[in-house]
Amino acid sequence: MWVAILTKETLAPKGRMDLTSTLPYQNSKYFYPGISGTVIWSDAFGLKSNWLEYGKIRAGYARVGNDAAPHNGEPIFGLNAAGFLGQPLATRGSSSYDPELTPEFTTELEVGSDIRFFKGRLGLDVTWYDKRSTDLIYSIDLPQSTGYNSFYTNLGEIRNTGWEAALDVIPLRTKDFQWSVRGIFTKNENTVEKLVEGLTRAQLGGYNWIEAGHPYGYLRGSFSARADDGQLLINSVSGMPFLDPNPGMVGDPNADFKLGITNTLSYKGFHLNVLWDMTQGGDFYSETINGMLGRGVTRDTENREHNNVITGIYGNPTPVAGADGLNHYTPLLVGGKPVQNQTRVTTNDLFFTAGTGASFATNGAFEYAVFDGTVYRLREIVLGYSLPARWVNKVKLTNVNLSLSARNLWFLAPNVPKYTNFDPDINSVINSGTQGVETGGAPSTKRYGINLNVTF
Amino acid sequence: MRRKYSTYFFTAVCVLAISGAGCKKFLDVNKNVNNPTPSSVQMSMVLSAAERNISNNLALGSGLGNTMSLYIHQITGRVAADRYGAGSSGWEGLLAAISNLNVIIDRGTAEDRFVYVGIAKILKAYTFSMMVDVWGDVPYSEFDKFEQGVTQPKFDKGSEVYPKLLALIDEGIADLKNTTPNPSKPGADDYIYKGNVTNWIKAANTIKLKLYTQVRLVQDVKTQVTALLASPATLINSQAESFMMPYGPISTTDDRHPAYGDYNATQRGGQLFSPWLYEIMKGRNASILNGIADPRIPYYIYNQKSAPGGTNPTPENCTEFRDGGFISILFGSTGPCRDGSNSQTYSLLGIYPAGGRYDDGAAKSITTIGAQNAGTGALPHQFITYADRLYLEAELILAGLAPGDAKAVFSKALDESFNQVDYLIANYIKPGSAGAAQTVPVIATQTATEAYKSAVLTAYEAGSTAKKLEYIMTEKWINRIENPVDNYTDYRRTKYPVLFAPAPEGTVTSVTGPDGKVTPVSNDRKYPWSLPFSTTELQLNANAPPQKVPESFKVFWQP
Repeated sequence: MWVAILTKETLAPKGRMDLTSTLPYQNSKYFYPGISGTVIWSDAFGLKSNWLEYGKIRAGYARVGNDAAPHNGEPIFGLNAAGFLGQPLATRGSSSYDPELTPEFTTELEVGSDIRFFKGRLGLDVTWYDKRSTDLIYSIDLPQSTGYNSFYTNLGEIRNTGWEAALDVIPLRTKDFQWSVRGIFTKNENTVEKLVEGLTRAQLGGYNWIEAGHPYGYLRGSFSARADDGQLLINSVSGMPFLDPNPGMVGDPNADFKLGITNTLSYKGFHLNVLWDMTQGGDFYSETINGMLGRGVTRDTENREHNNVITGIYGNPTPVAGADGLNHYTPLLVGGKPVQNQTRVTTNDLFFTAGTGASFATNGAFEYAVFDGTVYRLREIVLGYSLPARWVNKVKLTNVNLSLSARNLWFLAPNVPKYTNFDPDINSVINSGTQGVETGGAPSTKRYGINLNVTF
Repeated sequence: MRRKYSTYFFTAVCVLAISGAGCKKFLDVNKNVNNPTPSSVQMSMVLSAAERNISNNLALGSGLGNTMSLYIHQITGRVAADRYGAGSSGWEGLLAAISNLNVIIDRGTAEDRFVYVGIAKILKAYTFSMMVDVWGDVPYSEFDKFEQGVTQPKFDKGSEVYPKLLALIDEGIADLKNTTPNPSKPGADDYIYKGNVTNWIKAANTIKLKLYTQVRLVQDVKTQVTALLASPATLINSQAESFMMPYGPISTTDDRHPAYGDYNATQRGGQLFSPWLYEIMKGRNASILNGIADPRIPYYIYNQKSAPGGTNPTPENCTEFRDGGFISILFGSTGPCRDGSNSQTYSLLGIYPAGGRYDDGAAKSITTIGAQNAGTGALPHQFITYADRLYLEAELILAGLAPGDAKAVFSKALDESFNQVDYLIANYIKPGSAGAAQTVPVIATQTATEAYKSAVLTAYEAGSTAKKLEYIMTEKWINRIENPVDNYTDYRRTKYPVLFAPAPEGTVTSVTGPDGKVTPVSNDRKYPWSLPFSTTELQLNANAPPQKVPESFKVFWQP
């Protein structure tokens, strides 16, 4: 029995050593190993049957190392030869570099299983992974009072863990016609486990931050001032909420999970492919929606010819220090009781007040510009036809295929203001490893196409 | 077969030999060959950059400068600073400029470049004092110690920083007086004084006089200021010795003053001349300078429009505050005409505050003349001028902290205020060299000027001690429009000049303009006694204090 297991198993070890010039000399050599293996347990335990065709378990463990970008070894001065009033200028660079820089390592443990049932009519692949990246080489922000504003160093530990599952079903198969469905589900949780000693949080750029115990690249910004029971604290003179002086985490741009379902139907030479996908969760900051609401150009702010009273209680205009050492606005008490807001404001003030942090759109708290990015989408329909082989061979070709495609035909983003028709798939910040910030991208488009493929 | 194996064997041995030996030289190629390092950079370039960056962060027209100018009611604008809602600007820029100075101090001390070190110490003390004046608590002892392992510097109280700054100035003066031969001395790279050590010592002593005056309400400074004022030759004693940072016209580089940027802007509305200051200068304010018209108005304001009935009277959109050709908006305005686009209509800062254009009554918009031609923008940033020193002296004498005749010194200060206008126009701004050249009349010798000065002195003489102080501070405020940070400091110390106060925090609910238009004004924030801390600093520095409440956080020298 044990011998049988061993023969149905593969094992593949590997190792690699790197020598780099971009790290300090004492850390320039690094080695990283890996090992992976599979066991086809359906054969090993002799469990093949009519309904269970194939079953495999695989596992892998690998460690990968990485070095730094070049020319990041010492602080430099920025030169301005043309200068000012005819004199050249040299300003000390704002980046500082770690003299103890070490390589970054990523360790991944992956366990998965593939199972096939019913002569290939039903298949299920499931994978679980846990990937930890440590000592990431990154430029973190420093407070300017240290003399620099960034520090190129190794950064704590980031953990990516999640599931990937794929389900293949062929519900109908006849001589000429086949309908197959493939569903793919991915769920990834990206958390920062810890940062370097003494650093509470660092800014990845714009509104994305990393902080120990929080999702990677979370959105951080300002809130409206609220009382302990959650009610908005309103300024009795202007009728608009106060802006809380303490910013905090507003949203997590990482999606909860993503799901895609592909339906493929084929009949003789025709095939029809329909891809439908959804993203659940994933907050994003949108300057476009904020601007549209603030300028009142969508039907969401249609009813505007009347005054409004914001639900909330009056607050004292001057914040006081609380038990946590931070300043907070407190409710205005008359006879020991809070007072309901009765001050009227125009709809314009509601979405566009001048003065910091008062409105619900333009010039408002950051929390009102962050929306949930759940979206359901009909991503693609492709209808194609391959000419029969006997016709194709006559003209000495191998294959002729004509297809019509339509992309991004329909989407629904239920948690975004309805009449903005906003597609959460727009991301303005590229190449920085962050997501969830949109600062004025063009709307997404439907695309129709026709494709002719000829193989000689 | 054997040869193949021996080739492989040989290669393997070579690879192992190289990696085993380490080959440090082989790997040592990560040096940046394009830029100098702290040990190789030229001191002159570092000093030039530091001087320019400090000035760029404090001058009128910079973020901090315009916020302060709005708080002190010399400009108005549709910006966050209106109704006292500004955040902090200039924090990062000033700290970055000071770290440049630290490079000079460290290397200069090691290399015997004492003049550079002296200048850097004086500038460092001055800049830190400005930061304490604006923010109250600043990181001083743990600033710029990142290489020593300080990643989260703690903040020091202003009251602890000031004595250290005064000691630093003394160190700077001692370095300047050091007779050891220097390998190199500043010259043209020192924009401020061209390396003139005597002038630097005068500036240093005047900075000390200013700092002592600022703490006089919480500390007894009688001996110190009397000692400084006893030998006026050791202080700034003439227009040519004023502590100023020159700017230039546009040439191969754009060296113009930051406030001139509004001339280049296509949309204007953030840097407009305050109607409150305008009315005071016109002599229409009921409680100060009433009936005394200031002849400096055409030097301060450039009107793009003429009076109704003139050559160019029609505004683009409705206007809020209009007096003939002077058009502006009010602080805290909630009127309907505040937000309209009026970029070719609003009155702009003129030749004296911004290096812009003298108002000769031609009523031409800047777009017509061309922003590059309208003025030179070559106004210096005035850290401390001769007139400032005289006003400080007058204030100290009036407060009984120094001997002398307050009225005589005040009179001299008024003379030098007018001389300063001429001095800057003739020696720095040079409007004759602008694209659309102008001949600007000399103001100090005009009859209107003599009439103004005698009227002011008569009113001064007739007032109580508090009123006398109000006259001194108001005149100083008018003269020093280009240095709004110090104006803000002086207001918080003396509570003069009396500022515009819309309700509910003040009493004014609406303003009737000279053309009869009534505009409602409102301000629900109490006057801020300091600026909030930089939010970026607070988010990244765990040892920073919590964000302050500006209405209640007073700088230590304010009782």
